[in-house]
Amino acid sequence: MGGGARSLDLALPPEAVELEESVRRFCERRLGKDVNARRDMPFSWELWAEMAALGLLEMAGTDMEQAQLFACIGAEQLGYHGFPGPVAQSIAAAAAGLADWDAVAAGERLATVGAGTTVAWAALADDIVLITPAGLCSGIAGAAIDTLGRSAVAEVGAGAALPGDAHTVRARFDMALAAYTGGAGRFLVDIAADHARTRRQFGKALGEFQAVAFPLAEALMRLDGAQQLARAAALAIDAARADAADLAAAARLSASRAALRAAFAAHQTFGAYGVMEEGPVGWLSRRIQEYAVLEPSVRGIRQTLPLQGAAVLDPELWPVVEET
Amino acid sequence: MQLAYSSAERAFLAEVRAFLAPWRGLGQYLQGRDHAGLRAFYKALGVKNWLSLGWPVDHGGRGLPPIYEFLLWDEMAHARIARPPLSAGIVAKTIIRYGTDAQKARWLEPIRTGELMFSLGYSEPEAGSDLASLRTRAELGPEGYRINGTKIWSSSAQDSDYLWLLCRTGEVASRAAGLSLLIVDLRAPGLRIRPMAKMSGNVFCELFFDDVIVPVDQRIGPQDGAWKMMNASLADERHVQFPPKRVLADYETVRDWAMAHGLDRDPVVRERLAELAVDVLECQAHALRVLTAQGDDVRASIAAAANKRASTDTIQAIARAAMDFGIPAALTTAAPIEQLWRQTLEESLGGGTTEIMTSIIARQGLGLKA
Ligand SMILES: Cc1cc2nc3c(=O)[nH]c(=O)nc-3n(C[C@H](O)[C@H](O)[C@H](O)COP(=O)(O)OP(=O)(O)OC[C@H]3O[C@@H](n4cnc5c(N)ncnc54)[C@H](O)[C@@H]3O)c2cc1C
Repeated sequence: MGGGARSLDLALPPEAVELEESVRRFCERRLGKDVNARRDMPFSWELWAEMAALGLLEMAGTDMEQAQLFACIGAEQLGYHGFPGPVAQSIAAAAAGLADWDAVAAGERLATVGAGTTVAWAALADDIVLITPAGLCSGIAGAAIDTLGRSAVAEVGAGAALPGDAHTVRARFDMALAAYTGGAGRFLVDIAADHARTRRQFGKALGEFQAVAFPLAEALMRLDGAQQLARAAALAIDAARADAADLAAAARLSASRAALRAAFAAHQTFGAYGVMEEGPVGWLSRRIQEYAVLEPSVRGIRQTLPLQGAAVLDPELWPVVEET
Repeated sequence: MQLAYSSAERAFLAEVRAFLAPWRGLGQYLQGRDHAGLRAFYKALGVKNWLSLGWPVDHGGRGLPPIYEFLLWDEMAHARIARPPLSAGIVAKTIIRYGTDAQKARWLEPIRTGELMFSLGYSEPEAGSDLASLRTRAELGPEGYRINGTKIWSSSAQDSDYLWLLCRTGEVASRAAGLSLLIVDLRAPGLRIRPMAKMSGNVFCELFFDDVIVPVDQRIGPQDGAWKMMNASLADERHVQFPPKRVLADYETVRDWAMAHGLDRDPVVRERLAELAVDVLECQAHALRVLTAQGDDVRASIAAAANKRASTDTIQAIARAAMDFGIPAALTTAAPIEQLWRQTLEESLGGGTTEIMTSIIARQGLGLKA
C-alpha cells in the first residue's frame, strides 16, 4: 500500500473544518441547539450581519485558494440549519461585480441572484443580480409574492447591465445552492432518523421497520453523492476548470432530487406530526421545493445539461499534485 | 365480466350532478374549514335523504347498494365540494349494526338530516399506527364512564358536536380486546380541545380528557367489543374511502394549469402528463376492484388498501410533477399547485398510512409476514 499524500482525498483541509465548525456553533447558538425544535425563522438583519461576520461571504468574493470550497462548506452548514436569507445567492453575487460588494460581504447590504421575473429574497434585497442570456444585469424589485417556500420572493424587472461574468455567477449559484439544499436535505434525514430511533409503535422503534428505514437510507445515499458533487464542483470552480459550470449544474440537480426525496421521506416518517404547520419538516421542505423551481431552475438544468458523464474522476481535468 | 350501469344508476348520477351545480363553489374537499358552509350543505343532502343512501329503509335510509354512495361522493370529490361526513358513515352504520333501539331512535334521525357532526377520536400521541396500544381510559362508575387521557389528530373536532371515541375499558395488555366505543359530547365539562393547523390549511385537534363523564347509554355495542365493530364499519366504508375522481380532479387541475402556461407543448411535460393519465386510470381500476369485491372480505381489504396506496401515490406524483415542470407560477399561493403539493403530503398518512396499506397487500395478498 502506498504511503505519502494521497492524490484523491475527501478529507477537508483543516481551515475548512474550522469554518464548518464555527458555522455550526454559530447556528446552534443563534437558532437553538436542539435541532428537533428548529422551526422557520424569518429573515433578520441582525442575524444576517452576525453570519456575515463569520467571513464566509467575504471569502467567497476573494481569489483565495479553495475559496469556493470554503463557500460550499459554509453553505452546506447554513443549509443544514435552514439559515434564513439568500445564502447561496449571496455567494453567487460575489462574482457579479456589484459596486457595493464590500457592504454585502459585511452583511450591511443584502444581495440576491436569480433569473426570469420571480426571484427569491428580492423583496428584501438591496442588490438583485439577474442572469440573462445576454449577461448579468441588475434587477428592480416589484410586488412581493406569497409563495410555497416563503423566501421573500418578488417580481423583478431588468435594470442596468452588471460587469461580472454571467457564466461564473451561474456556476457559483448552482454550486452554492446544491450545497445549501443538500445540507437542508441532510438535516431532514437526521431529524427523521432520530424520530425513527425514539418513537415506538408495535413495541418497536419505527426504524426497525424497513419501510421506514429504507427511504431514509436511500435519501442519505443520494445526499452523500450530491454532497461530493457539490464539493467537486466548488473545487472545479476554484481550479477554473472549463466545465465547472456544468459540474455545478449537475450537482444542483443531484442535490435537489436528493433533498426532495429526503423531505418527502421525513414527512412520512413523522406521521401526522410531520404534516403540522408548526411541525419539524414543512418549514424546510417548502424551501427545498421552492429553490428547485425558481429560475435558474432545476428543470432548466435538465434541458441544457451536456449529456456526457465522467467529469469527476477524469485525471486530465484536475491539477497535478506531486507525491511526497 | 360486465362493465355497465343500470338506468336507475345513470339517472341518479344525473340528479346528483344537477343537485351539486349550485354547490360547486363550496370548495371544502381540500380545505374543510368553512363549517357553516359544510353544515348547510350536509343539511341540504339530508333533505334529499342522500346521507342515508345505503342505510336500511326501516332505519330511515334508502336501502340502496354501495354504488349509489360511491357515485355521490365520487362526484363530490371531483367538484371538490366536501367529503362524506363521519356521522352518516362509520357512526350511523355502526349504530345500525350494533346499537340498541333507544340509541337508534336517538342518533339516527339527526344524523340522517345532517344536524349532527361527529369527529373521530382514535389516535393518541403514543398510539398512531399501533392503535391497539391506546391508553385513554374509561372507568365505569355510578355516574357513567369517567374518561381520562389524550386524543390527537381528530379532524375538525373544534367544529363538531360529538366525538366517536375509541377508549380503553380493559387492561392495557388486553390490546384490541379491551377497547370500547363511546359517543362524547364535545362540550362536556373536563374536555379541552386544542386546534392545530396542518400544512394543508385544515385543522386537527388534540383533546384532553380530565374526568369527563359519559352516560353509559352512549356506549355503542358491547364493552370491550369495539375492535370487531370498527373492522365492520371500515368494511362498510371502503367504497367511499378514496374516490378516484379526487385523483382525476388533481390531474385535471395540473393538466389544465400546464396547458394554460403552454407547458404541454414541451414533449417532456407531455410525456409526464401521459404517464400520470395512466396512473389516474389505474386508480379507477382499483376503485372498480373495491366496488366489485363487496362481500368478499379479504379481496375487499386488499383492493381497498391498493386503492388507497395507488391513489395517494398518484396525487402526490401529480402535484410533484407540476413542480418539476419548473415554472415559478407553480409556487404562488394564488395558483392551485402549491396547495396540492402541501395537501397531498397528508393523504399518505390519514385514513391508513402508505406503509400500513402496503403491508396489508403483502400479508393478505401474498401471504408474506410483512
Ligand atoms: C390528515 C389526517 C387526518 C387525520 N384525522 C384523524 C382523525 O380524525 N381522528 C384520528 O383519530 N386520527 C386521525 N389522524 C391520525 C392518523 O390516523 C395517524 O396519523 C396514523 O394512524 C399514523 O399514526 P402517527 O401519525 O402516529 O404515525 P406513526 O404511527 O408514528 O407512524 C410514523 C411512520 O411510521 C410508519 N409505520 C408505523 N408502523 C409501521 C409498521 N409496522 N410498518 C411500517 N411502517 C410503519 C407509518 O406508516 C408512518 O409513516 C389523521 C391523520 C392525518 C394525517
